[in-house]
Amino acid sequence: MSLKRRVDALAMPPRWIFSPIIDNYIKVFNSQDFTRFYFNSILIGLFTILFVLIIGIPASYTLSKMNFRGKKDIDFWILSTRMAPPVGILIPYFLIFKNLGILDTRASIVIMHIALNLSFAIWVMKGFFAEIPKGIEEAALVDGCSHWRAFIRIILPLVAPGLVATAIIVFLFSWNELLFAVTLAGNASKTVPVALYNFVSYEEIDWGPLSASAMLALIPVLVFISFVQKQLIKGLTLGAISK
Amino acid sequence: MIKKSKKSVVLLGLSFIFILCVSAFASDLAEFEKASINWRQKEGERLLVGMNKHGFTDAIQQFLPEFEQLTGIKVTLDVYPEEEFRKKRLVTMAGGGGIYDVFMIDQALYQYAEAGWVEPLMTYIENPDLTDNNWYDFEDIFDKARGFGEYKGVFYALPITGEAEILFYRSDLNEEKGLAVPQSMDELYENAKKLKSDSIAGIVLRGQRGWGANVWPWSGFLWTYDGRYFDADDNPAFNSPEAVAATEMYAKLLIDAGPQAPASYNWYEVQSDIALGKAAMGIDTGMFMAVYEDPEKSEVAGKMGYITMPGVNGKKSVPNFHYWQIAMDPKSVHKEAAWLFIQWATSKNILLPVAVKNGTAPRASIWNNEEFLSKYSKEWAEASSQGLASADPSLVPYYKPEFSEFGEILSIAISDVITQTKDCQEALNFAVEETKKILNK
Amino acid sequence: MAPKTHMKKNNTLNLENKKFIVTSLAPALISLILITVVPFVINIINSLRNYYLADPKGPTFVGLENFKQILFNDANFWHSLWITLLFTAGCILIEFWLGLYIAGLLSSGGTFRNIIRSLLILPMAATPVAVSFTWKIMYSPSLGIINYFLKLFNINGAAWVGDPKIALLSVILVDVWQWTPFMMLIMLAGYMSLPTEPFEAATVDGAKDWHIFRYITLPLIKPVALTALLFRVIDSLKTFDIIFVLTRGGPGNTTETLNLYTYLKGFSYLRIGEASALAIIFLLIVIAISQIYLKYAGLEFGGSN
Repeated sequence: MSLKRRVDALAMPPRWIFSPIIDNYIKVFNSQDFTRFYFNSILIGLFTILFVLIIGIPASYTLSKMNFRGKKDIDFWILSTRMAPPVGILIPYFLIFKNLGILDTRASIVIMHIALNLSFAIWVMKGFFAEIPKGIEEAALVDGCSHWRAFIRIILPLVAPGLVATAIIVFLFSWNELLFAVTLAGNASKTVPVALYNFVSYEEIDWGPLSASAMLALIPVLVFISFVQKQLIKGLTLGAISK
Repeated sequence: MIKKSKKSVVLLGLSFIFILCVSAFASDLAEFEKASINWRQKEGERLLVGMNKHGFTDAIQQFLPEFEQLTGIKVTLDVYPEEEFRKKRLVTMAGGGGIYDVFMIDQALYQYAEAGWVEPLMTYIENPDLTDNNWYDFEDIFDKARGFGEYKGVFYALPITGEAEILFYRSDLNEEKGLAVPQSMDELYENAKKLKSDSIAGIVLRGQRGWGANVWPWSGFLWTYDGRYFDADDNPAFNSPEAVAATEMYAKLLIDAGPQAPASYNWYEVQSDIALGKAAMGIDTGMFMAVYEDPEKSEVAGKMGYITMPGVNGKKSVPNFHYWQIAMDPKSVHKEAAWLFIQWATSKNILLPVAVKNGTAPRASIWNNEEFLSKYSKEWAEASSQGLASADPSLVPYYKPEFSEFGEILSIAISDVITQTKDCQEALNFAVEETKKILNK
Repeated sequence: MAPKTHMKKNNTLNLENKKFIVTSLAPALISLILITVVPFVINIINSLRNYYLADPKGPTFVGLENFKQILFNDANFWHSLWITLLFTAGCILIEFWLGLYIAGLLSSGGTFRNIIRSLLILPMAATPVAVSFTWKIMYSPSLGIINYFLKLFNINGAAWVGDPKIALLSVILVDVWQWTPFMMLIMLAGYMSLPTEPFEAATVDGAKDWHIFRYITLPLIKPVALTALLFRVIDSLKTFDIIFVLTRGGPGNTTETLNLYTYLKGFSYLRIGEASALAIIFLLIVIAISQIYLKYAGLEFGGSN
């Protein structure tokens, strides 16, 4: 659809043969600084993953393997941070960020996305950590490794597929997130979904550029996934060796 | 030495081009400078304007550099699609405002006025330092449009578009089947049935729920059948016999002569079905015409006819209408600059190109303007301006801030009637009961 | 679980243990507290007030009035709760089994499989807005491709999102299309992390494929699969974009979920007090469902082997 003229796009029966034009793609780029939004979204997505993984993965490991008082409650409380309906928390967040003076900054969106995805990363990774046989950690500890060292050198590579899956999904959630991106962002920090939605205007839906921008929106995602898949294969081989 | 002369040639050439450009701008600015106010009195200030995506927004975006040239005020537009902008505007104002100096607004104006989120504008209009009314011509704006921007006697917003509910039909299909243009609702129904076939719907209307969806065209039916939203005692009256008659006709048209899934039709589906030849007639906003007549966007360019909504019992119809408006944030710290922008954006010189491109305008002078009329069919211009003239803003339910709430309930009732889930009187009675509860809160 | 031996080991490395626990958990906990507690408190406060944005008088304290109103006087609330449960149940039943099945098919690897996997991620990767609009048009009997194809087979296409009887199903289908990849992706990763020994042993023993699946694969993949399911349940309860664009809760109110209702209450009707109360009730319901789920699914971590 991204290559058709508007009238062809909706014709039913579908027009399979049409004169494709890249005008739609050009229009997308010309309108409202699309490259800037692209950049914003990519930046926000990458930072979100970075923080979510760094903060979340160690916590996830501890919650899956260790036992201590109140663990179950902490577990559940982390889960509950994801439960609130976004509508309920939209206005409070807006007020808070406004008072902090960080509205319309990429930082505020990154903060929101971390909040939204941290619990997901932690809980999903718990499942992967649970798949690691007990023997491995205990062997490492007996050998004199500190917990942190065992964690980084031995455990992490074993859950590489899980890390990859989590990273992909967190990136996707962040990339496609619309509600908070619209409310908290302004001109400077606009993201791709917001820009894409702009092709739905009053009394008209511009299908050509909409599809074109949707296609363009897909590209970084696909790039990211294929990049990360290579790491996946690496991680698997590492895991096999350590076994 | 040679280098130096090359440099100066380049410089000379550049400054020549520069002068050309400036004079090009200057000639446009001359129109504005006819006004006896000092456009540059707020020079150096910055404005943030919130808008939703609309033909008007695109036009303003184009003319912004001229505004900056004229006034020395820097303007940034923040544009979002309609539904998203509503959310954002709401959250922004509920969070204390102070972010957008100027913003576009629709039926929500009255809610905002009640909440104290819009600045009264009359003082700016009457201030001779800020407004030259001889040039600006406030009275040129349709008085109904001006009325639309008022709440409890205070004027808050200026209109930037003007559209009315009209009937569109395929004149070629009418010819084929030997049908006359319907003058009454009953004729409309008969025509629609005859035009309906396996491959084309007789008529399409909005059926989807939503206070801004099916309620909009349905209101035209309500008023045409002499129904009212509220009676003389301000009680909800949309379950009266007139309202029931209107709703039954609305539903009949869709059930007997309409498309397969009318309850999922919002303005976009109505527009597209006709544009792609899947429906023969439709009743909705006149602005669709701009899409129908564009061969890039429709297959029926040149085959459409336009006329005012059919009436009932020999009386003229009372169509619905809409004016998009712009208003000012009372918490803005650039109020005078904001007013200069508003004045500029709603002046004849800006609204004319908007009108020419989009087929919508709130000023009488534009509807009589040669350039505007030459672009669109006379038939359409007549239908639209007549529609705007017969429309009656006093009937509109938006003045109650609770409109979005009872409007939604009403839209659900209409949707239920269209899908034949509920009987008409029963559905409307329920809507009225719920509305009473809401208004008594 | 072998708590005794576990505790013994913990005791001998007590200090180091504790340090690790604290350093690994602290950043996450602190971040979450900072980011979520304040808005939550604001929400609670709002739910106890008579807060109507269009009322210039401003909010007044009314205690539990909003909650009473919603629970005892609001048929819409109960209806939307019911629709939400139906919607979520429909979505996750299909998504879980479909995702598991596809993940199983792809688990043997290979480049062809990798390509398919990347393709299958597309629905989830596409912007929900574009997805929703595209499906709305696809569902259109006059302009959409679905009924067009059905007609080629001489089947009369339905009215989909225009039919009150099947609108909910139509919406569920779009959700399934979009989110099955989510389940698949996580479960696939789970498959790939499975230890190989049990499978080798089983094949040596001559176990049938189905038995391997039932007695080895399923239990081993349980933690991952059930976690994915849990998140899908929570997210599905909060679904908004798809429903709003496709039907806005219609026809009538046959697809009006609790989240949609809360949105309309707050953002359309401007009744912030009631919307906040709805949000809190919603949260409590989700908590209840999750608690039941966790108990039932036995998701205990820490020595699940």
